[in-house]
Amino acid sequence: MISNSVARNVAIVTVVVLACWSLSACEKKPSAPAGIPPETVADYVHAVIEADRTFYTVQVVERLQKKGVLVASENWRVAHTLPLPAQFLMESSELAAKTGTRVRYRLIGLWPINPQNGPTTEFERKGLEDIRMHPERPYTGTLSSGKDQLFQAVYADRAVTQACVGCHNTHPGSPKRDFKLHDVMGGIVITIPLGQQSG
Amino acid sequence: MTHGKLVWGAIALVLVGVSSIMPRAAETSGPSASIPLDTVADYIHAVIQADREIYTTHVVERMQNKGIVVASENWQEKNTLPLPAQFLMDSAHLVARKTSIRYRLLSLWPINQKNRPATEFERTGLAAVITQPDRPYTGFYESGRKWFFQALYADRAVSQACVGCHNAHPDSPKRDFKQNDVMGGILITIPASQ
Repeated sequence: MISNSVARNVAIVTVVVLACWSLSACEKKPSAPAGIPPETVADYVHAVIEADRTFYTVQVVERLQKKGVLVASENWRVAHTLPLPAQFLMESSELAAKTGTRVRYRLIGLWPINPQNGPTTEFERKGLEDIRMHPERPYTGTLSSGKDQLFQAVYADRAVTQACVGCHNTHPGSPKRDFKLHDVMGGIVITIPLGQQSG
Repeated sequence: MTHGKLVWGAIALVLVGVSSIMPRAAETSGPSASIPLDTVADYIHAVIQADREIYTTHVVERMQNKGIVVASENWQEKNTLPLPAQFLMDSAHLVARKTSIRYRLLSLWPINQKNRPATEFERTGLAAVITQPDRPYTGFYESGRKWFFQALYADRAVSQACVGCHNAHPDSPKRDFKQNDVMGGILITIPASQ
């Protein structure tokens, strides 16, 4: 009798515990879609960078240059001018890095005006070659940096306005002077940490 | 009898529990397979924030201080610069055309009524980031059998221009903002079902 009722109580408690556990497991399901593939994350980050620079280029720089209100120039810090669209992106990239975020983005090119913006790794060099042929999709890969695993994506960066072409074709520091509108001038490289390698 | 039924019930529940966990274990297998949603939102927020700050400090404030050109709400009809808030909203429209992420500004004291909180999550989130501005308020919601992750980040008055405009605008419901105050939030929405 006693052992029977004990067994029943144990069984009831077990059922209740398991029921709660099962339900909480089901309930957690919405928060369960744990994450997103790094390719998609890079696409999101790229979309924001691209949209902000496009808005800046079209609605600020080009619009106000056409109206004769002001111009953009490389030496904007010392002149009464606006930062060039490429400088806008670089400034933002430096600021984001300073805030402690682990996502990184920068402009690179095979013919950069600033030699610092050339490819620094084999991956970047290959990526820049690849996106010239296939500008519709990014060149992606996973790299190791010490113990850290990094995902990188290089997106084709086109001459979106005549201002890009005009400056790159006439700048004394430019290694290439025959760009045309919509040409792939270089790439935006986005780096996303994947955490540490196990084992 | 009852005992036997309970045991079978327990076994059935174990199976249900395990089956509901199994797909999750598979999804997260491999350290490089996926980026956690809150980290994704942090990355997107970092870019939005950095771009707007560069625009605010290096373009709007600098040009206004030099007396070259000002920013104003009706910039499209005038020879002026878009306001920093408009820079963010208009870029968000461009992003929405290209990807499935969404972001916008919202506030308990918006100049534009469209930017008021529209859901319980948004209302609670705004209250939360006012008291705890150092971390976002996050959650999930379901729509059309798909899950979305949302993160609401505190949005501060980064420059005197933000405060000046909000305290003087005839449609502004609050006129005593100070620099660095939390004026509202940036809400980022990311699809969470693959």
